[in-house]
Amino acid sequence: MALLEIKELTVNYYTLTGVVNAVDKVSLNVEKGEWISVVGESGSGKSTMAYAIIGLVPPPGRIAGGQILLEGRELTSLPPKEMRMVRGRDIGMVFQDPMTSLDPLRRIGHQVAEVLVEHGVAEWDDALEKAKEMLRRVGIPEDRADYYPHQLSGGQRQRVAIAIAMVLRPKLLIADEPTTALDVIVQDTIMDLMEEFKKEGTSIMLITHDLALASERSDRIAVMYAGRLVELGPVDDVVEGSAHPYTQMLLRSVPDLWGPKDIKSIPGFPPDLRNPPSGCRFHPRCPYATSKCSREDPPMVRVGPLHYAACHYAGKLGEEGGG
Amino acid sequence: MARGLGYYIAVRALMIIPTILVLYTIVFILLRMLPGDPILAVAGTKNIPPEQYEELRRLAGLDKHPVVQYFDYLWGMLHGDFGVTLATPRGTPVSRYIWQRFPATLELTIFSFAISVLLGLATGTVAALRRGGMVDAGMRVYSIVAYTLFIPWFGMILQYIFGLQLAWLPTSGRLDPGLTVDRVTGLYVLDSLITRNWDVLKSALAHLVLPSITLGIVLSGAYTRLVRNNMVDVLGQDFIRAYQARGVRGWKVAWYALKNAFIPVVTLMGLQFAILLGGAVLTETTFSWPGMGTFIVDRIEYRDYTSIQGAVVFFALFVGLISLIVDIVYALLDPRVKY
Amino acid sequence: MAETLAWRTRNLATSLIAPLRGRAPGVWMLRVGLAIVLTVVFMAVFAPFIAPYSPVKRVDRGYLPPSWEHLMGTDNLGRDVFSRIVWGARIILKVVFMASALSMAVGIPLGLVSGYYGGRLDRVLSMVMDSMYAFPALILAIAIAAVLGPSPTNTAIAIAFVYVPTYFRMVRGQTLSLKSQLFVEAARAIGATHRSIMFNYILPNLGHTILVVFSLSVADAILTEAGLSFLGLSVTVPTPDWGYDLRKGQPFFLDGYWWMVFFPGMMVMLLAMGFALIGEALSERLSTAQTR
Repeated sequence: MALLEIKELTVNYYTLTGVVNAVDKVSLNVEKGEWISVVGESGSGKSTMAYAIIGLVPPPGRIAGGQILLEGRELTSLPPKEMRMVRGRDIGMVFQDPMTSLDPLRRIGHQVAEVLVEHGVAEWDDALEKAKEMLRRVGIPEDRADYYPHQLSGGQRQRVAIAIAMVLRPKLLIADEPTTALDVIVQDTIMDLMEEFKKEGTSIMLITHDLALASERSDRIAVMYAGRLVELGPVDDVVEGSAHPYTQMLLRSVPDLWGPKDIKSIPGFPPDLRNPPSGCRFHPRCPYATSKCSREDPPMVRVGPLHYAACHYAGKLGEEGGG
Repeated sequence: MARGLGYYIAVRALMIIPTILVLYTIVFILLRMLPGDPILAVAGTKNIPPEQYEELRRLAGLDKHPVVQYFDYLWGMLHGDFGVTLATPRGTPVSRYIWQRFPATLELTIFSFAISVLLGLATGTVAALRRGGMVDAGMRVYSIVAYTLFIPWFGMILQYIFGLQLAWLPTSGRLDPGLTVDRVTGLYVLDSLITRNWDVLKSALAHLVLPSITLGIVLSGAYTRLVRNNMVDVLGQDFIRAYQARGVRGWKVAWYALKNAFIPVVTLMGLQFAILLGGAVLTETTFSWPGMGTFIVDRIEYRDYTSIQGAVVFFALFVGLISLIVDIVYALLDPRVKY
Repeated sequence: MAETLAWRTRNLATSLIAPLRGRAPGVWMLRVGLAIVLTVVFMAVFAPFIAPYSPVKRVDRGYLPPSWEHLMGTDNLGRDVFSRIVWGARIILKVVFMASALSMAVGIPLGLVSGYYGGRLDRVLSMVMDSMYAFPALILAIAIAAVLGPSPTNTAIAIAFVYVPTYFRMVRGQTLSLKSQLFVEAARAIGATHRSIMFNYILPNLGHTILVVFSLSVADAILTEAGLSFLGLSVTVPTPDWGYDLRKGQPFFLDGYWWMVFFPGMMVMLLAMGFALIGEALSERLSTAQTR
């Protein structure tokens, strides 16, 4: 059984100017001990999906349909009290900007220890000791447990955020753009740290807009576009043999030091999700679009042993076709 | 970097001195620059004998060169000497009145201050949690209405409802007639607690209710706005979502949000306290509260120049002290302040 | 030059009228605020035609409650309260506008010069203004008014003193941020004099901010004026004045003659609220325009 099963998840934002369909019938599994990266532009619904998993879709958003099963337990219908216990204990989360994701007024040791206390795992004295241990584990000297966030660098703060997320050793760590606000060298050390936890058995879901970053350490990659899952598969399959035109174009927009490929940005803009395009949501920007694409929703089809894509012509489009 | 809180307080205290000096200088110059002869004003007639005129000038300290006056008064001020009264009872040290009256004002302002902060925090938080809705709009109206309430008018309406119609509360003075309390601090609530005089405590609290609510509500409007805006700001920040994502209980998250939203409020407190002192003059007059405000107003009727000067200079000292306290509280609350 | 001036005037005018239309959240505030202020101004201007009786003469028996004959009743001396309210609008508006004009005339140029030149002058001025700003406004005004003696002009002077720092601080702050902007650099490059830069380039850009500060400080000044006259520091008998009438009605208030106090006080609050609403709406508009 997969650790996390997302089935037909739909999330809408009910704004004054209309209903924004941010996530549309997305189905996705996270296996035990795997690293899956969810890739997409901003507004693709990847972050909304992450918030839906931990039951914290910001208002005026709401889960409008589908199921989220954690080890077979349905999360979307869980009473708030039980859902609170899932957060932090079963699922940990790391946010984008470590400058703002820690409380500036409280010592980092307390912020780590609080998770243990709030989940009834330890009393404060004990929890503070364990917090120090955890901080050392992520590479923060334990005498810094009394430091406030502003006394640490960005990278150190993100380590603290990871320590907080991992202190109860959750089964799943969701990291929402954890390195976007950091410089490149620090990025790498944070990724290393996450990989260490993966080796200890934690599943990782990395939410990112950076396909290159995703392809470095992931086992599988899921690509989202305009609220839908468009491609899913093992990292090599997706990167080397992408089956969806959007993924292909995304790959060509990544600068590659060693490749002679010319970089191409994707023409056009992501659609307005208050009024998404009919049929395939990518068709207005797709160079291969036919009339079928604007009429029918493309189903997720299998293009390899574990490789799926949502395109009517998946597997029939040559890589060189876009040249 | 970290030289400790004591050092920080000492530095802050030194930085208050120029502020107090500037205020003293402004008051000193203003009172001397303005047209009109204060001696004739206090005498109430132009036809006073020259020797009496000279006597009054000497009492007011106006017979010396202005520069000498400036330093004489400053020197006296450091020793708690704020001059003597010119009008009846002539020659009484102003400091004696301040000693009598100031605790009343302090008691009133402390209670009003507490009410205004608590009301502001409550209304601002509620507005922020229900932002964009009717409650938010309602709180916005509240903050504007509260801010523009005319203190004597509002006070009299409260007197009319709670003092006259419902007859729940006294409408003037600090204590019921016949009651007395031994002075320890001059704050009746505190003194009655110390001397375990429960009748006085009850009476003192009952007398405080209406004036401090009047002043407290008027001052709360500014906090409502500030707390609401800060709270909306804080609630939108990642660390609130991060707290929730770790399974921290809702009320604790709300508490942390409030703590963060409170920091900028502290910086407003110094200014608010100054406005509070101004409002206290009107409140005291409305409720016959025997404090500094009614003292100033009484002395104005006599056109008692030196008393007014003494009271205003004393207020300058007090405002300086308040801003020092605010600085210290701020440093204690916000770890980002280096000391 | 004339063209740009016309353009600026039109620009300011449209930005004043524009918020009256549309469904922006602050619109109702501006509408209500303007309605209140214009009504009071109308009352003041046409007082002789609106007031049914003389404000200073006994016109009926005293202590009469509100009725059709006396909309707001009569006071202890048999004077018509409504007529006194209408005439009282003149005093308060006159004092407050006089005071604001004075504060602006002093505060704005000082702020411009201080912010533009910087240096020692700026430090000294800022220090003085900040200290004054930190001091209880009403107490300062009381002290000044007490020394000057009671008269509307003296009250205006006392109030003007108190609000100079408000204008100074705002103008200085804005000048500091504007003086490094490109259009000022450009003006300097084409050889504009300092005085020309300050008054022709920087000052016109402060129009909106000054307007906001004006409405908010007028709201405050109204309460200060009413406070001073409540304490007997503004007008003398028998001049009709809201704050003073409130004071004179106080002894009778707790005997049940509420109308002598209720109406003058209500007018003070309404007028202050009118200006506060306008200021709120304008400052909201200004801040959304800046973030855009």
